[in-house]
Amino acid sequence: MSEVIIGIDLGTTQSAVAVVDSGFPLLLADLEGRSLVPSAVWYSKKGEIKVGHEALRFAGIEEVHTSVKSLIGRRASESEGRLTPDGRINTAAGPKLPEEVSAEILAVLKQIAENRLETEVTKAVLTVPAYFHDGQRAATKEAGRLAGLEVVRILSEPTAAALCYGLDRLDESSQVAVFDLGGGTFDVSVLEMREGVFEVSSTSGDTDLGGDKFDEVIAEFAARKFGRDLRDFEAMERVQWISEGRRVKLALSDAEEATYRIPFTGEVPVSRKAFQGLMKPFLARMESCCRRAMLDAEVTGKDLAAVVMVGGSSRIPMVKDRVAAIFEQEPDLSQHPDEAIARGAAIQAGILAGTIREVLLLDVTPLSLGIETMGGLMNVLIPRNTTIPCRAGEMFTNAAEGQESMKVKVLQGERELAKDNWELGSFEVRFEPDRRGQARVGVEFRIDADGILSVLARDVARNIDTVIKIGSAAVDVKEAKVEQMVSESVEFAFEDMNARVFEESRLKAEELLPAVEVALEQAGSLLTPKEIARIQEARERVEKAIEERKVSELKVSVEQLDEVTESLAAMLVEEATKAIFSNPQD
Amino acid sequence: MMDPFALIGVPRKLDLEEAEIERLLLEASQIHHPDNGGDQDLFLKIRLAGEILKSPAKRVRAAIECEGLSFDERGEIPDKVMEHFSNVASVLQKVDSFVSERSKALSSLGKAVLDARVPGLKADLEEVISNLNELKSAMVARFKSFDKRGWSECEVEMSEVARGLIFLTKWAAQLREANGKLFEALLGG
Repeated sequence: MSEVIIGIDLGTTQSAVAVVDSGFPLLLADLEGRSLVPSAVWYSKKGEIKVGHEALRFAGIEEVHTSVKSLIGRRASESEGRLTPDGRINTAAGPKLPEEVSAEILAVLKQIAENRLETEVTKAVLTVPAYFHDGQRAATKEAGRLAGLEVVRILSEPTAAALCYGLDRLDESSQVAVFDLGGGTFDVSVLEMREGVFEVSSTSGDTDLGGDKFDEVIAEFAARKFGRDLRDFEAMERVQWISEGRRVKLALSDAEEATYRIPFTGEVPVSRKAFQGLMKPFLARMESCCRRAMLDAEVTGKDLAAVVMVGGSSRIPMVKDRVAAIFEQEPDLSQHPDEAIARGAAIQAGILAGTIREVLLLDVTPLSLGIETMGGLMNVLIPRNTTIPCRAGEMFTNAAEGQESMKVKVLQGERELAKDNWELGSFEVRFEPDRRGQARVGVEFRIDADGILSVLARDVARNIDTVIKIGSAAVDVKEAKVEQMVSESVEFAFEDMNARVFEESRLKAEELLPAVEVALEQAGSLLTPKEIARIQEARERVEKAIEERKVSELKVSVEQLDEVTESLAAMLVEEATKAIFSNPQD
Repeated sequence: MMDPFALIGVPRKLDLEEAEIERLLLEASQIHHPDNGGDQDLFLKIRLAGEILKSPAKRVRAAIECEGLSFDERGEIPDKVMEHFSNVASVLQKVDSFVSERSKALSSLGKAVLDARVPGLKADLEEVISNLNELKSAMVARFKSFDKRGWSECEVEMSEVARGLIFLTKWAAQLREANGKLFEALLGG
């Protein structure tokens, strides 16, 4: 018999474990026959630990840690105060990393599998939201390791759901979308299935959108009715109000109206319509992701054979209606919303163990990977939706003679400005001493099948690769000055013809050139001939760059003109101020 | 220099159907995927080769390099492509300024007034996109003649076409992105 690899769905609100048996993915249940384990952990001061249903028994009495998934791989500043500055969760048993808490849940799932399969289990496929970035994936992998599991693959959740959906449709060739709205995260992927090959075409999502948020808005709504603000609540009271919000949310999936009740406080009726109003911004964000995914995959709703809905929150009627409207078809509800992902993870485990041979998955990296370039822009090296594993190379060169090293910031995200993207960290490229532009180091970026990045520096002359360690990003420290960096690559050479940059610079030039004219007329006499010559020179440079449509030259020359006219501008302001305050009678 | 044609067993010509490339790429990916016991480095090379062949711009470039000829990326850009540069730039700028104004608008009326500009912007975008597509098709149509005459015979023309196609591809991506931004701004509430 080949080795056992289990598939685990580590969810925000609940988790499950599955395994492939005779070619079919089966969910494994605990000794009481329950196959869904609440993602909840309780610690006592003495260090006792309870997980799942046992942990929830303490809910409302003592602190129970839930939705830890929304903290994994995150920084304190992103946690709304749930993480200490060094990224830990305060528990009764002391501060713990989110991956340590998640490891407790994984350990229980491992135990369930071992009981059911009557054998030791050491390997697992873990699922994560497709839209998890490198840091969140790496932290999830670490959680597995802490639980005594070798994580053989990190798999995206919608992809897992697609495997589960497609397993008994292997002879079909079609494009499908998977819509996965869970407790804390939302993903949407478009896939192409051809003869057992599942190829992800695009993926989009929001790691901060899910059922938890809906519970919260209902609780906020109720609190407002009592003239209170949820944000001012004590932790325990807050939990109570939000869990009542959850109950009302679930009730509204079947009824037109439900009553929100808090003992000793009162009742608030909540209609479906009111809930709809609260959901509006979330539905808009969902639609935005769906349209983005279709745009990236270059499909329309009509091209899709099915839109598979999974995740607990896909039960909400208005979510189903919105999905139907966006994709122009009735969604496919054939998959069990809470079980499909664990089953899909088991299928991928089967592929890796060799028990499932007819299926192959080609997944993609959800976020573009890039580095920060001069001027704080993001230079994309690996665009989003590139099939993984993948790699990209970049040449770095010294910007000054004798420069020994250069700091490179690695980013993930889709925004043009570096600062708007998630910073993975940074590393140093070391140069041999040489003349400017002569020292060259090739750096290779690799994204493995888990969606996790590694970086290699290649000494081109000696053909030696060294693994570069990426220092984790400092927490919210704005560097006074971003180190200048010059990077050269084929794509970068063409930055010269970046239409957007050209247009921005041209607009600035159009504003500056006539202003220079006017300013020189008014205050030119106050400048030295040398200063005037510098301004004239810069002006001509800009005019020439516009004429020749040289983008980088235009950008630089406009900046230069801006700089050399600074003192002129200051003088004009001074003259104007003088004119206002001087007394004409004097 | 690797030969992308040889790597995935695609006939050594420029005039290729995308479906044909897709089919052969899928086959090669399947055989060499690490999950199927394939070699990871080879798999990476195959995927890269696929990326190159699927893009007409990169395909011509690869053909030039496969012939042992050198590709001058800084060389002349076809006038027909340059003619579109200002149009692309101005429509991108218009979308950008719309998105930024839209995000700053505070009242629903203010937003509504801005939203009235969307159909016009969309039409502008679509017009530029369709012009670029037409131009792209015309350039790709020349592939057949390059194949017929032999690549080494048309080095200069191929280089020029490659440079033109690289810009067209890049602009197409920027325009698609702008299109996405447009509806994201609208859905932003």
